[in-house]
Amino acid sequence: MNAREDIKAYLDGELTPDQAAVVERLLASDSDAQAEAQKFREIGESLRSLARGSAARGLEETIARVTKPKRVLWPVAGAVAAVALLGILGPKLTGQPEFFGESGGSLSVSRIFSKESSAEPSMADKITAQSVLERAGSVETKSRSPLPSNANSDKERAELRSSVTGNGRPDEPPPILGGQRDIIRNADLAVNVKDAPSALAELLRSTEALGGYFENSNLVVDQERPVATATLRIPSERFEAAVSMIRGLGSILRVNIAGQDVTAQIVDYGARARVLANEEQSLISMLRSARSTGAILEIRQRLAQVRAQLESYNDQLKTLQELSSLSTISVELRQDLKAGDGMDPEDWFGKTMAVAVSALASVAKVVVQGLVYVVILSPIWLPVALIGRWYARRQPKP
Amino acid sequence: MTQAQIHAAAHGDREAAAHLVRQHYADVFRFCARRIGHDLAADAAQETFLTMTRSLARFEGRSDLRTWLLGIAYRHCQSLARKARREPSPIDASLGREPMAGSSCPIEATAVRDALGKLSAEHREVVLLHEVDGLTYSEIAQTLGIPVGTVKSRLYHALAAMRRTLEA
Repeated sequence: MNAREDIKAYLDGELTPDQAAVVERLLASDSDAQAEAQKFREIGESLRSLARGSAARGLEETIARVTKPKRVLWPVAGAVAAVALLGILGPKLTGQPEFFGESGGSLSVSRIFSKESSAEPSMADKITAQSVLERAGSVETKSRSPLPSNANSDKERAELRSSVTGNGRPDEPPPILGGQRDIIRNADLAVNVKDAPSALAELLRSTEALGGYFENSNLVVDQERPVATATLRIPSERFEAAVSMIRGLGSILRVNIAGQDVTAQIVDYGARARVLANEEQSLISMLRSARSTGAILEIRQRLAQVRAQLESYNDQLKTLQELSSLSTISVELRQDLKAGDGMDPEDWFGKTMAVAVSALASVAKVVVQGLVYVVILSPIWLPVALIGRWYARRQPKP
Repeated sequence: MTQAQIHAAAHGDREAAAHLVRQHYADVFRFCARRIGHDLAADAAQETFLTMTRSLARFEGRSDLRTWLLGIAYRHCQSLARKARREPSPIDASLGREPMAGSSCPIEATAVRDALGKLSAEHREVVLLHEVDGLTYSEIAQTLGIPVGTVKSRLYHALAAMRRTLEA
C-alpha cells in the first residue's frame, strides 16, 4: 500500500509514527493529496452527523431472559440414554437374559412382568415372533434346560433336581441356578405351501425324525383351497429345529411363539413333595409304634391327607415336566392359490393393516419397557443427572 | 466493568450478567437497528445477549467486550435478515435524512446517502462500522473476521469512491 492509500488511516490515527511521517510528507508536497484528505474529513463528518440515534427497546425483556435460570436438559437426556444403553447392553455383558433381544427375550420379559408362580402365561409371556424371526433368520429361543427332557428319564430329572434343590431345608425355597430353566414352549405357525397334502406328509416325516409325534392332523378344503392343520409334540431341545423345518415348507404367514418359565414352580413343587414324603415316612413310623386306637385313627387320617397332597404335587410336577419336555407346535398349511384363484383383492390391505398394527404394538411395547427401565433405574441415573446439571451450571457451555 | 464482573457473569452470576446487559444494550440495539431496522433490532439484541451468557466463559479479554458483543450482534443481524427474507437496508437504518441537532453536515445529506449507496456491500459495511458505529480498524477486523490491512484498504477505496461520486 502506498502513502496515498494511507491518507484515510492517517486521518483516523491508525498509522505507526513512521507511516504517519511518510503521509505527512506527502500531504506537505502534494495538493491533490491534501484535497483528498480534506474531502475524506468532510465525508466522515457528514456521515457521523447523519447517524441515526434511536431509543433502545427491549432492555427489560432481555434482562429477564438473560437472568432466567437455565434448564439444562442434556445431563438428564444423557443419563436416560445411558440407562437405556445399560438396559440393552447390560444383559449381554453380564450374561443375563436379554431384555430386547430375541434369544430368550420372551422369557426375560415374563420374568420382569409376571410372577414366577403364575401358572398361566401372562400376556407378557407371549411374543409375536414374526419380528424376531425376521431379525434372527430363524428361531433362536434356545432351551437352556440342562435337565433331560425326555419323558422316560424322569428318574434322572428327579436326581438332578435333587442336586439343585436339596439343601436340607425344605421350608426354604431352593435357589434357582442361572441358566437352568424348565420352559413350556408353544408355537403357532401358518405357512403358505405349494401342495398342502404333500407338505403335511413331509411334516409328519420330519416330526418323527425329530423324535416327536402328531397329536392330531386335519386336511380340509376351504373355498377350493386345501388347508391342512396339525398339532405336533416335539422334544423341547429340538423345538428350534422343528420351527426351522416348518419354515422351510413354504412362506411364513404367521408365527406366534410363547414361552413360559416354570422352573420356579417345578422346584417349588419338588420341595413340597419332598417335605410331604418325609412327613409320610414319619407318620408311617408313628403308626407302627402307635398303641391306642384313637392315636392310630388320627395318624391314619393325617397320613391320608399327606398322601393326597403328595399325590397332587407329584401330579402337577409330572405335568409341568412333561409340558416342558415336549413343546407343542400348531401348524396350518395353506395351499398357494394360483393367480386369480379366488384371491380376495382386498386381502393385501388386511394383511398390511395387520402387520402395521402388529408393528405399532411392538413399538409401543418397547417404549413401555424402556420407560419401566428408566423409572426402575432412576436411583442410578437421577444422581448422575443431578451431578451433570450441577457441573453444567458451573461450566456454562460456550 | 471489571474482569471480575465478567468472570462472575461467565460463571452464572445473574446480577453481573444483568449489569453487563444494562451497560451495553443501547450500543448493541443501535448497532442492530442500523442494520436490520427497529422492528427486528430488539430480537437481534436479545439473541446477542443470550449468546453472550452462553459464551462468556470463552471470552478471553483480548478485545473490548463491546467489540466482542458487536461481532455477535453482526452475525445475528445477518441471520435474522436471512430468516426475514429481506435485504438489510443499512443506509436508511443507519443514516437519517437530516443532520442530528447540534452537528454540521459539510456535504449535502442526500448526496452523501447517494454516494454511500453506490458502494459495494463490503465497502459500505466497513464505512458504516467505522464512521457511524465508531469502531477502530482492529475492532472492525474482529467483527468481520478480516485482516486489519484489508479494513484499511477497503476504507480508503470506499472513501475514494465516495469522493469521486460526490465530485462527479
